[in-house]
Amino acid sequence: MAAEDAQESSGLEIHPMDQFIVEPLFGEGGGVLPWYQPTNVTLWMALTVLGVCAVLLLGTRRKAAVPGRGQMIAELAYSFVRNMVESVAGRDGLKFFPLIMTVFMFIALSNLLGLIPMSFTTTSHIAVTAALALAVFLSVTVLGFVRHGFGFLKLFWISSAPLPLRPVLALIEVMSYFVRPVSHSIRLAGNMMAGHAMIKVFAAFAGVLGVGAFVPIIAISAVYALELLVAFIQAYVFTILTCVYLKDALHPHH
Amino acid sequence: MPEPSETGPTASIQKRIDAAKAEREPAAKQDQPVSQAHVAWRMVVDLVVGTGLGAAAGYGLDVLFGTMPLFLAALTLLGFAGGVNLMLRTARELTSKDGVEGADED
Repeated sequence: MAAEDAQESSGLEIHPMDQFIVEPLFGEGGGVLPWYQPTNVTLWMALTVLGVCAVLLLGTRRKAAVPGRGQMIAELAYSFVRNMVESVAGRDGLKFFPLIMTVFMFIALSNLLGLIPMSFTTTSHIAVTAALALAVFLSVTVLGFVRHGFGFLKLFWISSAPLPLRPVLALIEVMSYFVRPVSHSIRLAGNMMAGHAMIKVFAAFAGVLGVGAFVPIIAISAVYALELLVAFIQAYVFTILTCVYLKDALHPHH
Repeated sequence: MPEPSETGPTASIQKRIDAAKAEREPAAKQDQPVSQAHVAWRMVVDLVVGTGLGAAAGYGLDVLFGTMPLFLAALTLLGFAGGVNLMLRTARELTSKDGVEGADED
């Protein structure tokens, strides 16, 4: 509180986290919003979904033998994810390619849309990334039990270890299994939030420095370039980890 | 998959595909240090989240059963071990992936 007052008296007001506030699109904000209230999160997630449809459906609409720019992007994304699924989860993982492609396109595009000035980054909210990670976690766990029955629990029973150690290792493995969805979601949300907050802090410096503002503006450009990279890398990391978890569910005895 | 014929209309397009592939080759190598960085970041997050989750679960169980430091201590350690386990798995994944990539290049 004291630090905040000091900042305000010196004219430097930094509110890097204000960009993550969930606000209703219509009517007053504040208080607890009912679940059906459309907010800026709803808007930007809908835009992401529409954007994914536009890239993939409109891009490949003409089905040209020599692809144009739009078709090139769609085909590149398709083959990139497909190769990833095949190389990590194996050929039988390809059945789940639609799920993984959806996850990848949604995260990549919402990260990129979040980089538009004044937009809202839906993936900076743990609520959003946790929903994605939980969807992956639950479907992979259910898939493992459906495919292998209780044999899926062998994933936690390391048969290559000496027998007295196995119960301890099983406990550690179970713990690891539950850590995965949490770190899966925190990693994506943390990365997005940190980068965007950093840009906002630099922007606040630029606002008070006057002529010297070019220094933070150059820094913002550099961070922005980095964020562009992070947007793709985080989508890639989330997707490849989804493939790894899928592999564990398909082949638990490795 | 049948080999593309060396003559006819497919020959020129095959050449263009090869040229395009050659152009993309160095670009694929460049992102190597970046991917290393995200792997390091992944390990750190796994470790921290593992410990945190263990501590939180332990605290919850202790409050539930009224056995204050017991589960907290045990599950924090267990969570840390789980995090280390995930970290080691990531490291193993990395080395095996490098092996596969090396084999592809041969």
